[in-house]
Amino acid sequence: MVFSSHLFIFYFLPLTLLLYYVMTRRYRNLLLTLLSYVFYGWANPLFTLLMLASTLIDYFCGLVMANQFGRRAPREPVPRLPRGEPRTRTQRIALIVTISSNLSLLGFFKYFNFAAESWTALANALGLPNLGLDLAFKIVLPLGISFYTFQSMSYAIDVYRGDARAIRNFVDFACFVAMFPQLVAGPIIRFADVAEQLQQRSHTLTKFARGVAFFSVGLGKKVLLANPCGKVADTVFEAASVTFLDAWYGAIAYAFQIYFDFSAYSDMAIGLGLMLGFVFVKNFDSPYDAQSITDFWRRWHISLSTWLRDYLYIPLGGNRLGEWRTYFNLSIVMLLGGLWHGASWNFVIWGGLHGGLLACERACGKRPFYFALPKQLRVALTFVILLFTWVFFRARDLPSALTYCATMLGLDSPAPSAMLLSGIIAKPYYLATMILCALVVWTCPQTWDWSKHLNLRKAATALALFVMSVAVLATQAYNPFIYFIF
Amino acid sequence: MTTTKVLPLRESERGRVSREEAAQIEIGHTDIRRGVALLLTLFFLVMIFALPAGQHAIEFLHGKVGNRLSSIPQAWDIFRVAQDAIARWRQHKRSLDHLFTVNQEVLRKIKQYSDRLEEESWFNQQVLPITQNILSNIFGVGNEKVYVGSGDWLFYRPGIDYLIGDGFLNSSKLARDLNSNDAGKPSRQADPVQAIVQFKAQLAARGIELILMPVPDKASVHAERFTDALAGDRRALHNRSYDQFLAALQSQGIRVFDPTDLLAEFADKHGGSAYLATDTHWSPRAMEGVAAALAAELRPLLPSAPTEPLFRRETATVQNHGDLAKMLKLPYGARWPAPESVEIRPVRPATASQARVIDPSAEVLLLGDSFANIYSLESMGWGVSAGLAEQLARELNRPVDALRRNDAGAHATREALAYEVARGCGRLAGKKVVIWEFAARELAYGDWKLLDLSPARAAGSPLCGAAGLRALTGAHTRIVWTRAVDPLSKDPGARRAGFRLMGLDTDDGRGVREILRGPISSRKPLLTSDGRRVVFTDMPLGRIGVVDWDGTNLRYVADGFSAHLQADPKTGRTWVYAVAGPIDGPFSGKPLFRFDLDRPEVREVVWDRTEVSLDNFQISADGRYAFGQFPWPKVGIADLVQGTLTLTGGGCWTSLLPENGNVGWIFDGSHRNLLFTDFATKATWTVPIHQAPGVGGFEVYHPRGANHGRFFTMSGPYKEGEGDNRIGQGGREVEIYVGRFSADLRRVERWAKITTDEESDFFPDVWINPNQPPAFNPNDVEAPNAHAKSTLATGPIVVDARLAAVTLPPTLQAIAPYRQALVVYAYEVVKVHSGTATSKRILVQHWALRDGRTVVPHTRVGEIVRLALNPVESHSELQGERVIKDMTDTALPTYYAAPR
Repeated sequence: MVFSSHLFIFYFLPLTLLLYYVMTRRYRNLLLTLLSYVFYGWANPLFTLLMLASTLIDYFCGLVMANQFGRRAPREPVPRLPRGEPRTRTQRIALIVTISSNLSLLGFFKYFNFAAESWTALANALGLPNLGLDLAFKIVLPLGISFYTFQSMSYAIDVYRGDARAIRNFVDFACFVAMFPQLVAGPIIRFADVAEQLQQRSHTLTKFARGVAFFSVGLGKKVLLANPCGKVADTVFEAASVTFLDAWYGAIAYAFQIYFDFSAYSDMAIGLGLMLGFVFVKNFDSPYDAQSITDFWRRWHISLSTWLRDYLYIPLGGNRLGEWRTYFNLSIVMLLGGLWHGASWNFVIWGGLHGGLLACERACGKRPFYFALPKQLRVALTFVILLFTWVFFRARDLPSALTYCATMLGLDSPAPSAMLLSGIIAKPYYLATMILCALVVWTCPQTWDWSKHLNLRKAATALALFVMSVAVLATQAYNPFIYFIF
Repeated sequence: MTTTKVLPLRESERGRVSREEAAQIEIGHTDIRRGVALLLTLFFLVMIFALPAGQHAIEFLHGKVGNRLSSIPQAWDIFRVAQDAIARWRQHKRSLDHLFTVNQEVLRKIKQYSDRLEEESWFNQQVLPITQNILSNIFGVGNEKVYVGSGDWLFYRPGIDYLIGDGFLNSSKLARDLNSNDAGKPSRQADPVQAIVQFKAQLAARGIELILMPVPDKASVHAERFTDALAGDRRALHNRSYDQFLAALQSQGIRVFDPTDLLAEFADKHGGSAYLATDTHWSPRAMEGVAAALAAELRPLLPSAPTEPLFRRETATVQNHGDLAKMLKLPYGARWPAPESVEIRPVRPATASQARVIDPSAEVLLLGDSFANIYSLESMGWGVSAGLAEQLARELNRPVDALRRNDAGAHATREALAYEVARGCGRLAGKKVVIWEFAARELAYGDWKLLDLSPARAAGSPLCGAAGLRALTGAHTRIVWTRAVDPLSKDPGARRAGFRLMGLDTDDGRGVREILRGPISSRKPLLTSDGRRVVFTDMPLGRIGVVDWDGTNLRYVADGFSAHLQADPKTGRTWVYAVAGPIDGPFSGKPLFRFDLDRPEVREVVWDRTEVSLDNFQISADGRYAFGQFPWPKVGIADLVQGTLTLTGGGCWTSLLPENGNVGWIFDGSHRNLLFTDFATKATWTVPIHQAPGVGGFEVYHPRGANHGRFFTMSGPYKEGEGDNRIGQGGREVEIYVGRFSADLRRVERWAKITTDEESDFFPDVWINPNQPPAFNPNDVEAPNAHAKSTLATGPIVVDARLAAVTLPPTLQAIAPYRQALVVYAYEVVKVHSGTATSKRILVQHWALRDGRTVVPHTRVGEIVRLALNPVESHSELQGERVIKDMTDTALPTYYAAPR
């Protein structure tokens, strides 16, 4: 189910709010869990079994690691394991079980097809087609699996490290894993961040109203900005030949699309969380204001970058093992981060590019090579670099990405039919949307800050955005969030 | 009014607190006045609650007043989805396959549910046209199907995508297309060259020349209307692979007539419009220009044409909104875009006795898509008789044959041709040239199926046309029927005007002719006992007309709706049995009266106890007994003298054998079989009539006994539309058939196919000269179907069977006025516990709807279930029940699964 859909806005959401506020506090997490399973099962009912299995494994492993498995459930919270102390063999096995089960799920469902196709391509390239895998089936990617497996792993690792308490209440844990506002496309919530809220959270009018503002702004970003940008980007990226200007237009459109699409989802998730009493972390911090790639990764998909930092980069040694090891760690983390986004060589290259750029900047003292330029130019140059990296993220395949980049650099001559593109994308609607996107990106406060002070004018703006979005939504075909497929 | 003070985090604090803590602190300090918070919250809640509540209220009220089948709001259907899923899962828990099957079913239903919720939302229905109007009119944005060009020109999106997209012969695109199909659907054959080369070879083997005619997309010729960036640039645009495609065809010796340059030149010379502004297709003049150039290309391939002009052109003006304007779904009466007016030039025979413009026996066959249909097909809204085929005929001064199907030019017309050829009726006989016209965008998106064009291999080819009918009956025979003016008519009940009265005489050598050109209302034409006059009903005006066989002396003789003609040998009178109005949904009314056709003032009421259905209604030779429906679906025999009625069963389209008043038949609810009854011996038997050559097991309609008991006629096949109740859809493939029963009336021993055209033909009636006993060759029968005999259901069986295929259950609306229906499932017998299964594959009728409630069986494809079955023939109570069958197996034993 998509937040920006008639079904969600006019059926699932009101029903959820109604039941949630009618229910006594004691059963709200249970209700939320059940509704989250309905929400998740809407995409494919069988996926819920997968999520339930993953949840059960992580829950029991958490108890095992905290030495609580099989014990009676006293009212006191489970004690946190002492930090830095050696763990028993059983605890280590439990950690391995939970991590390997999550990675196996992720690996099988997300990367099996990719691995099989890559293997077959390699076999063909080596002149050994008999070794290729001609599979009659394709593995269907369960929605949001990258998000909830990462959330579950963070719980297990935090418990093992002694950074979080294990949880006895299965419903609360299932609610943490499945919570529908952020289940499918983040932000990636870490257990320690919401553990207290699962047991105790406040429901206030102020919180609810700010939630409405977040949700409305998010919906507006998605329907009024991201989707039109997506039309432009799709048109340009699917064209066989594009002009120099259209190539830049398309790349910028995609940069705006992915930002507004993803940040819209995060805004709506945060808004829904607030309506239900939860406070989720910030996932974006004006990423296109970044003055370097290092800066960009502090602002873009913060919940993923911090997850990778805490659970991958630091365990690999971070920057503690010397200069070259740091570069290596950065590169490997970004490569894996790229692969996390999708099973395709494009994402690997995209991650590799970012890893390389981060390593370069690290070598220059966390500064880009254009550090000496004025701030606006640094921001502009960083954006231009990002545009080229987004090309690899968006293009259909590697040759298409390279051709596209060549066109952006003026190295490709377009076919006559490329001129037709302007008849689609040079419409006042799309041009105005682009200008609006640029204004929002570079001159407007982000939702988080904008909604901090809500006066009547802002409330009216939020509601107007909601009404306009719902009206425009009626004209748009099914348009899921980009990050749904990750 | 309360204000919560904001305590923003200082920069120095940001590093010390976790992101979660920072979030808590910042969210916890929203600066908002209580009134504003309340307003924001309330408005939002009202919006999200009021809309579904309003929708519930609307649906409830619509249900109450009968506009919906149920007053339970649609949103609640989700519980039915869950209920069904649980029931199906419980039925057979053990297998993992079953789990996946149930899951797939639920997914499909969830998608349907979500789509319907959105589509039927009152809010969306109100908002969509208004918003789309603003987006299109002011901002120049189209929708998923339409692009808005400059100067109010609209463009079809797939056409533009074809031009700007990957080359259609690009190997990676071909591979992508092959792999991009949904599970369960057959792969698309994306390479057009293969299919064209195959077709060329198939035609060449018959000595027929192929001319390929890809029609360029609008933007190929009018790119300047799509974007100002190409203003002044007159280059024609093509897909990247187009040149490669032409070269590939050239190397195979295939002639290509590419009208792109011609259209571009036309646009330059004639005010810049070779295409309609708001429609996908070309303008009438541009099309005529193409027809002239095509004719010039064809002339060297054809014998010389007559010097006298065979056809003349008329002139008419048509005003319409183009198909693209309609696709935008703008508000009704929107000022933008304005309707377009065009002058079309319909082509007519120069004299009334002249050859037809479109003639199946012509030497040139045009296979075409909507570019060939526009200005010819009435339902497209741009006039009739002025399309490409008609203009080509005029230019060539010879009739042309045409097979035209909107959309899917890559395969639809070839499929139709292959179907005709397989029927053995000589659609390619005498042809010298086949022109294959299709929209060029099909090169990128079409399914270029490789098709078999060999004639039917089955023994006993069907008899065709007048000669075939003569051979079938062995006597002078006439047949009359009503033909829709619009070949795509969806009015097989002939309720409205818009028909022509057609006829065929086996002996006058004129073939199929128009008795009344129309458009008129000519429902249920009936031949008088001397075969010289035709009586029919004008439905909209509720009057009965009569016309001589040669089309003269048309007059309307009485008010009412004719049901039957009966000659009284004693008085020489021809009685017209008719029903007075008003006529309700199932075409029934009362009282039944009769009048003398020649002295209409001589009339009397003969039955007023019940309503009588107009379908088939017959009177015994002595005029005393009537066999019919009183009304549908109550079949019975009425004693018109005593005023008594004996009900004999349920069904429709009854018929009584004229020579033997004890034998009659009812058309069954699956619209495929005649259920015979011998009223004297009470014997019953089934005669399938959907196995006629070319009908292919689809539904048939309008079955009617001739004035000789061995013969009957019908229309079919009905293939259009979804799985249920296809007889309501009509379609160009509906033709007229005449069948001859075997002497024991147990089967149809020989068929003749009367029409072979693109028209919708309904309500046939056959007259066999009573003064000339049928002298047909008794040995000329359909090839015996040994398989069919061995696969008759012989008695009750209990089997374990695997469900192989299902028919989707119909909706109540789709089968209305029926309220219950059976669906046919196909099973593979795995194990026989009792009885004798005569075939490994069997068909089973299950109840799907009973008294309006869904009772569809909860079996999944692949699942093995135990079934206790009886031959369907042994359940006379099922006669007349609606049976939905979405499979074309015709020779399988059919059983009935009684509900537990």
